Amino acid sequence: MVIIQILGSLYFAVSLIAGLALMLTVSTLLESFYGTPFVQRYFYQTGWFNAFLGLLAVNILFSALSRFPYKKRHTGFVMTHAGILLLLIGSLMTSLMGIDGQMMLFEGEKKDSIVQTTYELIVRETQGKIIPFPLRTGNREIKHHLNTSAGSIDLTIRRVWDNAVVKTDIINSPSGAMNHAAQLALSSQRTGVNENMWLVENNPLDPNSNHFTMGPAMFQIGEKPKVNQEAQNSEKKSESPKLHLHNQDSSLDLSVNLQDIPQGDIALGQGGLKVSNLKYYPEARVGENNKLVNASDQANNPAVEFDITDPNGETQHFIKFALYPDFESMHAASKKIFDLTVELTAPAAGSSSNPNSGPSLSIYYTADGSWVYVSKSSAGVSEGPVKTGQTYQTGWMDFSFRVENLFDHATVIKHVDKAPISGKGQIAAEVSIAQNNQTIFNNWVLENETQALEAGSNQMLLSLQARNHKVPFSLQLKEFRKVDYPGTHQPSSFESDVTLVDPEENLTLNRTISMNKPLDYKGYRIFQSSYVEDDPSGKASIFTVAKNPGIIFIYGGAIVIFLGSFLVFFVPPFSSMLREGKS
Amino acid sequence: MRSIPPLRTASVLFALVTSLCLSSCDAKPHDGRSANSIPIQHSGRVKSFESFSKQTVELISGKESWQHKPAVDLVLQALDKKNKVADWPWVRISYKELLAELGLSEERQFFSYNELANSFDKIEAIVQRSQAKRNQDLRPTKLEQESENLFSKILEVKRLMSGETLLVIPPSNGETWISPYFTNDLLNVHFNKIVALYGEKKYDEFDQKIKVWTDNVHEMTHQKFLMPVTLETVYFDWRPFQQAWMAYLAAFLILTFFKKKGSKIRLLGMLLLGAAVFFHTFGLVLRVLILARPPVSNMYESMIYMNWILIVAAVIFSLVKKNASVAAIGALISAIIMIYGNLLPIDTNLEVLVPVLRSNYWLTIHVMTIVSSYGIFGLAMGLGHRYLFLEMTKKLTSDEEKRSEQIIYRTIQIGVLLLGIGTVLGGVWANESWGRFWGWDPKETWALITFLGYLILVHLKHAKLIQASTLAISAILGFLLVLMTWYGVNFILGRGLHSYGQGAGGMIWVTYYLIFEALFLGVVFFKKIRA
Repeated sequence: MVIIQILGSLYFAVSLIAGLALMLTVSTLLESFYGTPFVQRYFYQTGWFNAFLGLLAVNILFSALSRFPYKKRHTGFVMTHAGILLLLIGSLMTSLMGIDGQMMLFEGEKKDSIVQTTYELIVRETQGKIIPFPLRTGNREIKHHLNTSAGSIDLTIRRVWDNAVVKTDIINSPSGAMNHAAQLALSSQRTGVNENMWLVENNPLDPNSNHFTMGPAMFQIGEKPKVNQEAQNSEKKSESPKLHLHNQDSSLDLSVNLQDIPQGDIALGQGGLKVSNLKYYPEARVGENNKLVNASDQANNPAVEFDITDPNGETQHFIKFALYPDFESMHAASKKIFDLTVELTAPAAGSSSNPNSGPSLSIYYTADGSWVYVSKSSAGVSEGPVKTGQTYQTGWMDFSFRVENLFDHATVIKHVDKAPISGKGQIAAEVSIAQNNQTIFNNWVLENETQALEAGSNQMLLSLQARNHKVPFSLQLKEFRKVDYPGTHQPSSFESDVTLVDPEENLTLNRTISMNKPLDYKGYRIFQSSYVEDDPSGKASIFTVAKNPGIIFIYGGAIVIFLGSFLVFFVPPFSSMLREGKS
Repeated sequence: MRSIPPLRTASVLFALVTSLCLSSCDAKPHDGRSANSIPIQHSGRVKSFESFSKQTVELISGKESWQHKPAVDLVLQALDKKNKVADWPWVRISYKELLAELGLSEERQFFSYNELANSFDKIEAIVQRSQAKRNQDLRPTKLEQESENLFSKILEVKRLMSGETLLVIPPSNGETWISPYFTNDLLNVHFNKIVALYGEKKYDEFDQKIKVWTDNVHEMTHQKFLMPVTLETVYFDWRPFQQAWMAYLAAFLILTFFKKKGSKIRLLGMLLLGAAVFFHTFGLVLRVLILARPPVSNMYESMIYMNWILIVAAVIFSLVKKNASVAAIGALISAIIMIYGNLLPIDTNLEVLVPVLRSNYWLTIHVMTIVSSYGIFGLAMGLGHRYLFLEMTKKLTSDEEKRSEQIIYRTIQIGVLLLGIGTVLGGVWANESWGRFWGWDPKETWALITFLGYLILVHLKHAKLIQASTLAISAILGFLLVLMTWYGVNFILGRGLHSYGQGAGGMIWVTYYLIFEALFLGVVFFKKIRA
């Protein structure tokens, strides 16, 4: 009885509420540092947090029961507390029995299942038999026994991580094949960059790891080029500026060397079009009367200006900046007479339109086993030998790099690890399979990656799949529409025309689902949650489909709480919270 | 309280000055004012040219004017002499690190487009890096954020120079308006002529032509935009919130320092309070009509609305309890909040909404209920200060103590109900829009923390476990929770679904408020320990 008294006491209630408020404060702070997935995983979805909420429910229950038998003056008090319990029960029902999934439909597509956020392990036999196993995140081993056409098999799911990352270790194994790799730590105080990178000449898991781009900068590894190759490169750098005009079907196509502009008009195609008043500005500035002027002969802001005239005398004026390739498209609002693509390639320093001229750092190995670096930027080229453990300046801003490792027999090893606490990871399950007490498979299975194994004479395939939940209706997307605010690309609304078919009821519904206007059917709510616009397969709508069985208790509980609070606060006869004998 | 003569005189003077200021009658040379009401399409809606100009100039220079020239004048000059604009040193860069990064003088804050031309590629590189971070849900560094700001400033100057943003011609079909600089018909010539007249200082002809132009546009659009544009002109001419805060402050001073019932000066105080509430309501209604949406869509709007609830509640309480000091304290807080609102760099613009916030019944009720509770808690906070101040400066009778306690508790009760209902309505809205009632989003979590905080207070007070002064202190501390939910979650934590209510900065002013509260409560505790 004493325990019940304490559990239902006001002091306990106040401590619990204060404790909860404090915990939530901490969790929101953690969220701001480590991100939403972190707090969802390590806070809100943990057993201890929900146990704490359960304790609060116990406190509320006992404090309500301890006033029994109720008098009129307890009405408000009982209502508020019963309302909270109702609300918590509703939440529990939703989390246990609710369904929540996504359905992505391209225009014209039809589906009758949703993809959930939980995963299963799928075992596929050659005969096409498919056996799914549910996955639960954690390190608990779960053993399954299954009979396959190749005999009985023991399948153990050893660990399931939903924040796994696949990592590659790069080690130097002198027994392995010749393969070069370098690890660099790039840093810059100014920009706050602190990047550690591996450059691997030949990586079977990622063929692109012999180079790395960061903003405009490029890093690469390779064999030191012969001198004449270098010369060729530098020749390419001083390439003269070129103007290239063409239309969609290339019936018009003209290249002009801007270093050597011909006198007079230049004919464009066979149709009598001509290019006139062609001017090249290595460093363009906007001068008097909005006219372009040249500030110097340095190619700092190359621009070109010209007119195109057709035989009827219709003229269009063109201006193109090498550094701002989009600038012309901004003029797209103006009336276009000639639908031409204008390209200006000019040797501008640091130009983003010309990747050759961005800063680059190359780590080269040489035939005699030594290593050198070559760093290029608009400021020039710096180069020299490199050694492990040394720091070198790149010559661009205050970027420097430290050589952490230089391998000539690099071997790439893959392993699965947990993502850093704030990072996002993918789902991974470590599975081991034994036949006749002999392990025939023991490896990580990842999403979108099928693992094959031989069991006796049979082949089996293992993969992970997001769980599919069949819904009692099919949905077809007829049309997706996005409306922008006039004159902007800001969407003001998006909506989908859908057809819902329920074969069981022989029912067909044509509806429009939009943001804030879901479609309700048989306890399921279908929401417009997102969209895909620029996919090659066309426009697609992403719907969230949810079943929320506890919502009625949540709404009901909330209403009871507020009616009760109203009584407690403003109607004295119904408002005492004191026990019998204490009033 | 005994009144202090110099303060009395000062407050009368202030009241007089204020009432004079109510009609703004500043005489200036022609500043393009007649162009104010040209309709222009900008950031998704048709607005007044004045509104457009102010936003453009503020984006570039950080203020609604530059070198003491009003925004409309600047934009007209810019259009008249486009080639000069590239040399105007009006692009503001205040972040020293960025100046160093770009190799610019750290002594200066303002630069011209041409001065920055050499740094374009560098800025673009930083912006690209920053965008890459954002795509990965990482927070860019301060330097990267500032570079993004600078990039949009440069782009805005460029767009102004090309005339691209000047969408003043209604289209014959479609919704996108046209810039005269991107079309080759008569309107182009006509508009250029108007702008040239301004440059040549032929103001009479200019005014006349503007009127013809504006009338024609309204005719072409079937008067559809006449009302919002006219109302917007009224909004900028009257500056209702400016008038309101001055009147609030004056009303507070008079009602506080002149205690004699029925005196003429006190009547003036009441009238000023009435005028303030009128201007406040007027401004609020104007904004609702101009934007055709409830007044709670960004931080500035929610401040104005919260404040309105606060003062209306204060006035009602004063009338019911026949206690003018509640209205006086409400007026003081209203004045402070309005001054804050104008100081904080939270966008005061009249902007359009993201889809999720549009035209939803539940959302409107949810946000308005929540923000109403902030207003009520704000009043409780003010009353808490009043009580603690009186307690320190004079001996309160037990009757006075009880009345103050009762009124603070009442406000808190109403606030708790509104906050609770508002939070649940947020859940209803989330459930109707996304299919989940509760998701531990930081904003909703903080609303819950605030609710829990006040809930503890209600339990303790209901069980008669706390005294009047504890209640008053709690009302102040509780408002700090409100502040965290309202401002802190968006501005400090900066994460979560409600981040569309986001802006930047203003930290310094919130810090001043926190320091004030720390000092105030420190003095209260010190006196209590001594006593």
